[in-house]
Amino acid sequence: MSASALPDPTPFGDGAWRWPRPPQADAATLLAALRAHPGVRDVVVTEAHVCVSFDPARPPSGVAERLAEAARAGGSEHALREVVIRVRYDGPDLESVAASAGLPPEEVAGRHAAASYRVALMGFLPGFAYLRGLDPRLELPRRSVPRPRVAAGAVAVAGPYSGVYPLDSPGGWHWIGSALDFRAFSPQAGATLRLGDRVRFERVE
Amino acid sequence: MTARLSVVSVAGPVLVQDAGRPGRMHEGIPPGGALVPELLAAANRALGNAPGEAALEIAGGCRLAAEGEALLLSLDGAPPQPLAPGGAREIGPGPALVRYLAVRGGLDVPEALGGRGTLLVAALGGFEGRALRRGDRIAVAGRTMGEPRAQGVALDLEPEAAIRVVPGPDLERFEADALERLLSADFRVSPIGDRVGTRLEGPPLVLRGPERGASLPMVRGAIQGTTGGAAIVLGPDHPTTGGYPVLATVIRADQGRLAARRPGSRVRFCGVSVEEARAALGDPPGALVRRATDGELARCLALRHEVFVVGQGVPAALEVDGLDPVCTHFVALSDGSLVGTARLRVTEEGHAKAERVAVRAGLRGQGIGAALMRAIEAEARRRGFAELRLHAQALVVPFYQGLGYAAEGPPFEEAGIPHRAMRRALRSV
Repeated sequence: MSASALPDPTPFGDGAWRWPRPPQADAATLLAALRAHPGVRDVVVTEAHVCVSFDPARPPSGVAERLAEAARAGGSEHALREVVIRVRYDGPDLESVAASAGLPPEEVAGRHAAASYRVALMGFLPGFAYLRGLDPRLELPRRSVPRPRVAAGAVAVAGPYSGVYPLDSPGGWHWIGSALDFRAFSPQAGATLRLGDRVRFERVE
Repeated sequence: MTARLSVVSVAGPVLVQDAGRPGRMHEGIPPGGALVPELLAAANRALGNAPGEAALEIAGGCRLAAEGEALLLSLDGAPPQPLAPGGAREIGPGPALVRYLAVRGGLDVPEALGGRGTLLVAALGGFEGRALRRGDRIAVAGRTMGEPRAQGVALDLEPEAAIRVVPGPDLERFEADALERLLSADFRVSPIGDRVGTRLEGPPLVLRGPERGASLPMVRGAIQGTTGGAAIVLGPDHPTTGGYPVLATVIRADQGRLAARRPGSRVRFCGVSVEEARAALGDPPGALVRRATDGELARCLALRHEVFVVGQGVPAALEVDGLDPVCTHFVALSDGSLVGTARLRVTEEGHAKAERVAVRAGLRGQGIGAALMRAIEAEARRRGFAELRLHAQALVVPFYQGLGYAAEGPPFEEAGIPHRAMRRALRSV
């Protein structure tokens, strides 16, 4: 794959470009390479896109080439990081998730803790990580009526993702448990999880 | 004794804000920054602070007092005013949705994750991560970079001007006429809005097909269509990803101008290219085209005299036609010296017309004239004109054709020189 194989970016206003994410490219590698590129202010890598923000008066050069190069590079050391989060499965939606999945609550907890997850994207709230790897039996659409308040540390599922709420906030995901000794965001250190991290949940009674 | 600003009372949210918190969006942390960055910069510049220095963003109003030492304050760039220790100052609502009160030296709040601004959702930054309350006392820092400007810094937020957008990036996710609706309809600022986004009331921007729910990267200025059809323009504290596709994106130069509008204000949009958006920023590197200041008009007239009167033999009495005071003038500068000028005039019939396009001899053919025309087109489009007209000297008709202008009608003489009438539509994007 050469630089010319990348499509031109779509302008996202005058201060950002968006590309379709190159297939097979490692998200954390793309993020690190683009963040290090001169003139780049912010980079957001989602499952389908790469978005690069910059000062519109000084658009950086060579970003497409850097992206193509990073897309060829494959995985990174960083991807080996694994974070273990201890969870008590006591969330207010555990019963309803169990009913929708046709499983006993005990097995919802067991399946959720048995899976191995990967941070697929960061977004929604500071420190919120969308975790891929959820047991397909636990996939549910978001709640039809979002809760006005989900507590920081809430472990939740929606669609193909699981996540841990970093802050008290409204939320539409199904709240199945509480993370113990884990903060997804701190005002001193920022987000705890990073794109590409592996995550496991450890069940605590 | 430390100089402090103390809060006597508040009548709405008062937040410490600065130039933002760049480089953290990959952690889900929004870019932040002032709702109206140019107003924050004006207040700071008036005091000799760095333009992005931490200051108070005031919605509603408040009463503040000085403690310890006299403070030098500027409200929205107004001439600096001292506030003696023990003295108080009442700040009422201003013309914009928020006002900025800066203190010479800046506010001494700690930097948190690369910025001093308040991010309420995360209780991050600012003064204890929250809005100010009665009795709060904020120390004043000593970070200055120049002298105060006694005359202050004037700023026109152009509350009636169209808000310029670059179409996309998710055009294909909307009904075919959605962009045309956005660019032709009148919207109003909804009372439901905050630093996360400005909501607009107006015709729905209808999505095509089912909601996909995939999280897309977001930027400030993104105009999201929602399944309900209401439009939201993302503000400085927007989530870094979102599920709603983006029909168009407000350009950087106009993000603050939109955020400054109060609920109920009218909003019209017009489409521009990325190049026009960057030209609107005012200070691109290299040759610089921008609106002339009042003080530059004499230099513009001198250059026109050189080009038209000396160079082409146009009578001086025709060149200076008495209409300059009602025109908007533009300058092209290279290394600080004037190399081109042009003016935009609204004719008696109500048409937008480009006139007196002059580039210094020896510097033609380098794109300076084209850059001037782009600036005039952008200004005319922003003021709601659907087309731009001009009278081209016969020799330069091909130049204007290259810029998309079509000649019409027979040639005619003006100032003894053959001309053609030309025009170009401005609505197309």
